[in-house]
Amino acid sequence: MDHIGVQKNADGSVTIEVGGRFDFSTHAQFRAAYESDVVRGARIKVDLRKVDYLDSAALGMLLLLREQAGRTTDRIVLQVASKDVLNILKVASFDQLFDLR
Amino acid sequence: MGGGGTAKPRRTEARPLASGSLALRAAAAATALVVLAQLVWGSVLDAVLVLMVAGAWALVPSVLARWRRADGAETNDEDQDGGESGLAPELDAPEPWPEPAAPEPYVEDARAFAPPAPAGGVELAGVGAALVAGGRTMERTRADIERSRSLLREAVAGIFESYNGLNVRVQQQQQLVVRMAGRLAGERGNDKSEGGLFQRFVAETEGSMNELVQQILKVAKQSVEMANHIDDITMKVVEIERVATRAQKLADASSMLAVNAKIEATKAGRHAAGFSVVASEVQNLAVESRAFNEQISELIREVRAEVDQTQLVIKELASQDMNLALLARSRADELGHEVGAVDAHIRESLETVASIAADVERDVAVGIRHLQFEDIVTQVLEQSALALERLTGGTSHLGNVLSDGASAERVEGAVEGLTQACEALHVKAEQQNLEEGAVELF
Repeated sequence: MDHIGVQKNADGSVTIEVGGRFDFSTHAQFRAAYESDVVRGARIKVDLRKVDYLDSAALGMLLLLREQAGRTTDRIVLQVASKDVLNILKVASFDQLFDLR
Repeated sequence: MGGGGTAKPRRTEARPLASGSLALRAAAAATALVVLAQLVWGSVLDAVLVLMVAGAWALVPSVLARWRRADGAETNDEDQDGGESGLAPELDAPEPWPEPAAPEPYVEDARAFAPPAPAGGVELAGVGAALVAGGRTMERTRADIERSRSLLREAVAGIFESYNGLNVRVQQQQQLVVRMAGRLAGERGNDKSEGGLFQRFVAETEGSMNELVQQILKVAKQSVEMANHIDDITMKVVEIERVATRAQKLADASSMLAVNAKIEATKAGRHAAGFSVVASEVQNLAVESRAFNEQISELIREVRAEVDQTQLVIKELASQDMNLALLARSRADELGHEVGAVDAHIRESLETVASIAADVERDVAVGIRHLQFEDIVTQVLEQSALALERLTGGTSHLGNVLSDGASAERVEGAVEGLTQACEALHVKAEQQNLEEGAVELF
């Protein structure tokens, strides 16, 4: 199972780090991460730089995260390194919903 | 020519014969040149005029000389008149004009009215026959000109018709091209802002692609949401299992208590018989509770299996490989570029076709304008035919007069008539040349 970690940053934001395959199998972990007390109400960064594959389930999870975060926070930052991952996010028009970096 | 064939009179005198045949040859050559000129230029007018004047004046002195010889008159002039006139006037037509002054004294001479000698009569009859034959040739030439005129008229009319047909077809083609270009450019009624047909197709394809991707995302999101709910249900089921296990433990404890109560009742003897019955009942209840709990546990296992199955189905729903969408999208983009290029190429080609149609139209217009030469040529031919008709009359008359062996006065009258006809036609021809020059400027 690929790991999902949560860490609090110095600026008060929270980073949810995802690695390896980001797919349906991680949905429970990812949910646990964004529903944790640490994340609630904080500005969220999702670090996808170690993700080597992601499918529509992962996109669905990110959409749920966005819904969960609601309008109480600014746009959620998605940190991307892989070009393949970036292309998929763009095909899904995520560049209009998230802050892609 | 016919003039050459018939101009072979019986030769009784050497000198007049020589000069007479020269004159005849000149007349025949003149007629031949006239026909040649007609064939070469299509207009006989100038050639006919020049050569007929030359021919006529070549004949006159020799004809008059014939009479003089017949009367035994002076023969000195003959060499000049007959020997040279046969060729010189042909080369330079206007020169013989001063000549008519010379024959005049003979007209006054009474002997000139005397009938010509038989020998001279034969010569003159030959000349007359040649002239008549020349007249017939001119008549045939005139008929040829008339035929040429009608052929030309028909041909030009046909060319006109085909040019107009060509123009109409090119116009139709132009309209088709314009309509096609309009449709490709996306003109639908008054709405021209939609872009080309292919561009619209590409835009619609792109829209469909986006819709499809959004649909996949929607399903994925809802599936994950459902999976989360099922996770919650699983948690609840686990809780139920835990509670059932506690109930099981309570039942076990109750059973133990009942066993102990029964033992104590046995110790107390007959006085505690009722208590023993109660203890047995409690044990029965505990056994029943255990059976219930086992049932509940079994049901919970079944529910968990069902939930796990559901999670698998949801996973299938949620997990779509986005690379397929990416591939489809990039293919659609490629297609869009290709279609755009084809669109542009088609438009360019249609514009070229349209401009070609305009060129054809212009060329046809130029062609039709040039076909107006028919008017001019027809006029020229008409004039030529008229000239020939008049000259034919004069020539035939002179020929007949000579053949009949008529008087010098009548011969001169006929020559004068022919000369005047020539003169009139010459003036007319010059006017016509001027008009033609003006027409050519159009």
